[in-house]
Amino acid sequence: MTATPQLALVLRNGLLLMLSLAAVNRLGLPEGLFLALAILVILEADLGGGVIAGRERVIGTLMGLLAVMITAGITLVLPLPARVFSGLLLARLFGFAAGLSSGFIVGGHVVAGSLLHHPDNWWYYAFWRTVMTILGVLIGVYVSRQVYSQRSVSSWREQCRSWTEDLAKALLHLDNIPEREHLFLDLRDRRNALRRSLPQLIAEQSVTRSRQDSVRWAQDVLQHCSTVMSCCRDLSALLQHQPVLTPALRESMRELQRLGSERLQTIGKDSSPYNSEWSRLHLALQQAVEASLLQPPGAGPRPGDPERQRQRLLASRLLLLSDALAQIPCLPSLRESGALR
Amino acid sequence: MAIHPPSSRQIRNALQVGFAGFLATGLFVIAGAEANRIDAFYVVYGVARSLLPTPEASLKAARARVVGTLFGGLVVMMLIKAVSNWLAVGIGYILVKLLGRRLGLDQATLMNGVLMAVLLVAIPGYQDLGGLYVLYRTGWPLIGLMLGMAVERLFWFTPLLQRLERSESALIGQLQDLLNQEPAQRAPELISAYASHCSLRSIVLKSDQAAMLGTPESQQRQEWLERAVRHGVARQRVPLPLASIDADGCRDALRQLGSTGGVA
Repeated sequence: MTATPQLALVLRNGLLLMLSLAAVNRLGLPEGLFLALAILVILEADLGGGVIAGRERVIGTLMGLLAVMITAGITLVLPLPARVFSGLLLARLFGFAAGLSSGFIVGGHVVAGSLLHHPDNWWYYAFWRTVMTILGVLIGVYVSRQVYSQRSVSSWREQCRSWTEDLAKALLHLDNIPEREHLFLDLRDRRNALRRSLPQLIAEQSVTRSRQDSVRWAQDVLQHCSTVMSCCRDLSALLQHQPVLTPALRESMRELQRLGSERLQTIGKDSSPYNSEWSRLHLALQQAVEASLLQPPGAGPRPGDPERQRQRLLASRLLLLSDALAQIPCLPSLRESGALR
Repeated sequence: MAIHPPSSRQIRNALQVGFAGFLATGLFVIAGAEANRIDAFYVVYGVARSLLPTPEASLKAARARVVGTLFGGLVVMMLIKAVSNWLAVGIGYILVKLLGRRLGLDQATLMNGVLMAVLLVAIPGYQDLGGLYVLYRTGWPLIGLMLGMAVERLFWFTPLLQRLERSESALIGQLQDLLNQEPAQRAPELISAYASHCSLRSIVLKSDQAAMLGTPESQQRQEWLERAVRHGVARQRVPLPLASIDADGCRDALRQLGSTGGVA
């Protein structure tokens, strides 16, 4: 995100935090501080990240409440350290069982607050804290969706576009990539970062209920572009050995690089035109590969021969690359998916 | 909401956090009239925040807590000398965010800093305490965090290098399992497992045990593992008639890996 949206976002969050605390104070809501904190947690991330953080917070708080109820109800006769042991243990176990990745911390805080800060009125504290947290998360998600909304899908597409553009350059200059390994490791790290952000897209789609399946599109793009990236890495290493290629194969490869690169460059843009040249190219490449690289044993180097292994690997990667490039899906319209609302 | 039975590692973690809470509260009980329940609350609050899935994550969270609380506290304490109403929360938030970013603080640290803006202004009792509250909120949770990290190291602690070796063994096992099955588009599983392994390796490379991975044997080992994973992934993707090329490549790399010395 550039500096101006960042500043706008900080201003939005500061203003909303201030208003929510003022409202909580004015209305005299019990444990209202937790409402403002829940709103803050949601607004700190983009919509998808906020939904995940809110879910963790709500479930973590509920698990903490459950742990406190059990601990206070069953282990009342036990000394305080044993009660804290039981409360923290249960909050973590319930959190893990609920599949939380960080919300169990909040569960532990509910336990600590109930048993140590509010031992005489723990039910009032834990109950209202839970209610306010749920309310705060609902308000936070609503505000995050409606006021200067930061959509995970938009930033994901932006990062994806930058990644595929670099991938397109690598594909276009397969036989002459400076610092080849470094480039592919960087591309792989960026791919992994995109993979890690997928849960945010899923969470966001659960609240935007968009008709266009952005998640499915993102998963497909990652799958096929990952294949393209691996093929490019292998092919660029194989081309270092300067294999003898027939003119037909060389021509098909050049065409594959050009069309593939164009295709990769259109992924993150609003239009990704279907290219009728693909089927013709795929057929030509397959024929060229079969004729010059996958000839029957005896016609070329012997099986087990390193040169023959390289030829078969080259054939495999060329066919896989062509297949993966052809399967890259078109971009669902941002406007239809609600990402620009 | 799906219910997952906790793994043995998660059960151990829950026992650890419970025990650290037991120790913290035990110290409060032993201290008797010298301590009050609020102090104990802050210590246990710190305990609940520690003992995260990995020791590195616990340490990072502890650092974010302490630095963020001190930084946010400092900014907001100065601010409330000029403005002490609700406006201070908004201004405090903006100041903590903008100054913190300028200083290169990460998101978790800034979040802890922002919390100080909320707590110091929103709760009149805390505002009256001022700097004392900042010290309270930094010192007692710090003891809890340290207690949690001590318990983390005392029970079922696995050294970093050993974790890396286990991760490598698990990855090799996964590759061998996949080689014994027909390709079934399971590349994403391997990619995730290898990404986790690489992220663990990068943690080791930043630690004092980095030299163990710097030997030629260890580097060679990593190269064979990488090659095995790449062939393993490709085998899941290529057309079936060509899958044997990558199966052979993966087996060969695993064989070489087995005969290479060095640390994972």
